[in-house]
Amino acid sequence: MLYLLLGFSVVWVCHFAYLLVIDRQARQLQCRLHARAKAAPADA
Amino acid sequence: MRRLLFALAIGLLMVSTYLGLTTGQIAPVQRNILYAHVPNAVCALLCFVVLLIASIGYLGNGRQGWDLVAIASAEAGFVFATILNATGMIFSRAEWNIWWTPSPRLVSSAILWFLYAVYLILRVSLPGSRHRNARICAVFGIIAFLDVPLVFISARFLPDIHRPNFSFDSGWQTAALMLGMAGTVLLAGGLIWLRTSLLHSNLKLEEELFP
Repeated sequence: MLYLLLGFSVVWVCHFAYLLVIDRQARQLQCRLHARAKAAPADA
Repeated sequence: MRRLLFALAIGLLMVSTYLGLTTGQIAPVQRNILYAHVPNAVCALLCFVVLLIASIGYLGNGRQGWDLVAIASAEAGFVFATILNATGMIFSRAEWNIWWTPSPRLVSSAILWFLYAVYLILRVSLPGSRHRNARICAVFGIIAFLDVPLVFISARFLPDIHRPNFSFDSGWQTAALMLGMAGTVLLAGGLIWLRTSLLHSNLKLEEELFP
C-alpha cells in the first residue's frame, strides 16, 4: 500500500509541478506585456 | 477550450484512479501502480513521436511553429519520462524487491529519459543563431527517436524482467486503464498546446522588443 501511494503521489506531484511551472511562465509573460503596454504611450 | 481540456483530463484521471482502487483493483495491491505507469509510459513515447514529426517539419520548411512544438513536446515528454521511470522503480521495488536492474526495457527507458534531458540541455546551451540551434536540435531529435522502437520491442523480443503486456481479469480493470490512458493523452496534448502558445507569445514579444 505504501508503494502504491508513493507511485500515485509521484504522478500527481510531477503533473502539478509542471502545470505550476507553466503557470509561472504565463504570469511572467503577462507582466512583460503589461509593462510594454504601460511604456508604449510614453514612447509615443 | 484549454480549461475544458484540462478539466476533462483531470476528471478522467480521477475516475480512473477511483476505479483502479475500488472495483478494478488488481491483486496484490502494489500492482495497481500500473494504472499510472502505463498511460504515462505511452505518453512519454507519444511525445517523442510529436518531437520527431515537428523536427522533420522544421528541417523540411524551416517554419518557427514546428520548432516551438518540438520544444513543447520535449518538455512534456521529459515530465512523462520522469514519471515512467519513477513509477517503474517504485513498482520494481514493491514487486521484485529491487529499485532497478539492467534489463533491456529498463535500460532503454532510462536512455529515453536521458535523451529528453540532453535535448532540453542542448536547447538552452548551444551558442549561435536561433535558426542554427533549432536545426541542430531537430537533427538530434530525429536521431534520438531511434530509442523509441527499442523501448517498445525490448521486452517483446529479449529476455526481460519486465512483462511485454498485461492481461486483465475484469472489464472494470480495462476501463480504469483506458480512462487513465485517455486522461493522460488529453493532458499531454493540453500541455503541448499551452506551452507552444506561451513560447509563441514570448518569441513575438522578444522580436518586437529586440528586432
